[in-house]
Amino acid sequence: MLTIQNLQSSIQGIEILKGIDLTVKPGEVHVIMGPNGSGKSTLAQTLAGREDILVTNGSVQFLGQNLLALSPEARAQAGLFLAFQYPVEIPGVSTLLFLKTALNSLRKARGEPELDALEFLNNIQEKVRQVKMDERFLQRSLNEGFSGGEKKRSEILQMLVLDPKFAILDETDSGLDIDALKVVAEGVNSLRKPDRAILVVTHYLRLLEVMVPDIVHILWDGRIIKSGDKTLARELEQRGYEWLTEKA
Amino acid sequence: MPYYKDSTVVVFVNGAWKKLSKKNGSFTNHGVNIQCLREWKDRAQKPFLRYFDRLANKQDLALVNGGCGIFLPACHKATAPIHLFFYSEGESVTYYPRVLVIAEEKSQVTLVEHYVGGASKGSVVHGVSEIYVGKGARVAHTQLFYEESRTVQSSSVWAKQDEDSQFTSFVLSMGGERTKQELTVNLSSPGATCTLNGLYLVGACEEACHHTKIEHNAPFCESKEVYRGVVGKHGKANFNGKIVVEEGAIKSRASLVNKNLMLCEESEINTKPELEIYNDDVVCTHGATVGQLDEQALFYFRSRGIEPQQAKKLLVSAFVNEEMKHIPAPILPLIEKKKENFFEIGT
Ligand SMILES: Nc1ncnc2c1ncn2[C@@H]1O[C@H](COP(=O)(O)OP(=O)(O)OP(=O)(O)O)[C@@H](O)[C@H]1O
Ligand SMILES: [Mg+2]
Repeated sequence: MLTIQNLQSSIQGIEILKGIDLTVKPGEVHVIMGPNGSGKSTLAQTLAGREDILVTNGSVQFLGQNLLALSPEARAQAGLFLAFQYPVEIPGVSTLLFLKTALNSLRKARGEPELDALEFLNNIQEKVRQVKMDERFLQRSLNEGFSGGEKKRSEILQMLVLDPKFAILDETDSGLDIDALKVVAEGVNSLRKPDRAILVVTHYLRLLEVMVPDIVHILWDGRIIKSGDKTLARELEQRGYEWLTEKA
Repeated sequence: MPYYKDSTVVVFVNGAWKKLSKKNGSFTNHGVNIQCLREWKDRAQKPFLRYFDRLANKQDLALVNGGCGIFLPACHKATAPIHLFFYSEGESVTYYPRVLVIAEEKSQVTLVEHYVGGASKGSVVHGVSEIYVGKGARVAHTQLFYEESRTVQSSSVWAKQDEDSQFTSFVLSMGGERTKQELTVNLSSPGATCTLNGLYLVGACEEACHHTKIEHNAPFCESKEVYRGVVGKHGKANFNGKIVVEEGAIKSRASLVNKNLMLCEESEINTKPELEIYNDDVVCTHGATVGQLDEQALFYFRSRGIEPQQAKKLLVSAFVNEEMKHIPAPILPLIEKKKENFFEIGT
């Protein structure tokens, strides 16, 4: 589904990703862990197509397409979704309008008819309930003044509405209370399907207990230095990152 | 012409009084006296005479070839808004529309001045509006400059407020080669409050200029001002907002905000808030910003599959929306059209 080979990228002339290799097959859930500043968000945003990140080397194939040649919107239309670590506040654009515009953009790209306001409301009501969000949030400006946890819920809602083939969650489990964590975990679990893959960036085991990953990768200084099954995450929890780098 | 339900409409062509709600001549609507200003002046009618000596722009009266006088006797509340339409006809005409509003004690009125170029080319319009807001009176004043043609228009609005009066002003300028509004509000007696809002949408190669001055001449007065602007390619906007608080105007409260959105590097925006405060017992705040569309916000939209053009439109709308609540509903479709134009030629 997603094949990353020797991906290198830099921001403002500083090399951040120094050669990433990663293959994700349909149905799999991969986890990326790694210390602050190791490049996890940069990897996620390189895949999503942030324009101030310069890809200096490597290739990314996504569902048979050269992902790096696509614009950010074309990537989304191809089925890629990134739940941002720090979702942007958009004063003046309601959550509802944003979601509707986004969904209709994807539908249009797929050649499906756009949904009108009523059809759209019917479409999302169930999902709003699923993330246990108060419907009043839909009328509020997107993310504006949302608490940390509410922003993460809003990202999950967007993911459920847009129904991606490949979802990247960048620390969507950070800063959540126990109930919100459950919402996020259930949201992610509900997305788990044989034809869909998920890449989760996290610092914690909590999410991994509810949502068992297939493979855990450790990102260190722009490279994946170790991959393993979920026991790797537990080992990290106990021993920190030191033992890995000492060996490396 | 956008259709305004239930309002009293006066139409002026090249500044000359043409018709008033299908009738000619003066008109009294629920006690509001609306008259051709020239007749008012020539016949030296009472309400006018009483204010004549106080007029700030007496010399301009010589040029008045129509104009509009609106008189509200004490305690009269005009139930219907008054809409004045100023049309231009023919090529390269110049005219000086003149509006005089006298709102006596505790009266109320909503007034819209709407300037439309129509089919004319190269016309020059210099308007002067003078508004007296009597003790406890409320006047809501709106000026709309909507031009499709190459027109140069300028307008001076001057309002004087008595004790405990309220004055609200909204100006929308979009289109026209050059548009300039100068607005002066004089808070002359204690307890007067004014709220000034403005929105300018400056398209490709257009220029808009807004100068405001609020004079706090008496204690316990309050002024609030917010102007917002969007400027397209090679467009130019100037904003100058001055607040003067006189020595005796203690307990004054004043706030001034000007926010600008530049759609590309080739736009020019100059903004200058100025405070002149001559006593210590006041609360004044001011701020001005000039920004471009937020790249992070744009990326956020695009990462959800939204095309950049549409993302930009939504972001510009969001910026403009903050001022939308001041805009009369019939004008909204025109604004939508203007926003479309931005993306065809303005960015
Ligand atoms: N716009 C930028 N300009 C300069 N350096 C940047 C920029 N964005 C990211 N970096 C740098 O890139 C490196 C990787 O950042 P990144 O956000 O990918 O880390 P991360 O692994 O997601 O960390 P965290 O766990 O704290 O979220 C950091 O050293 C960061 O300072
Ligand atoms: Mg990060």
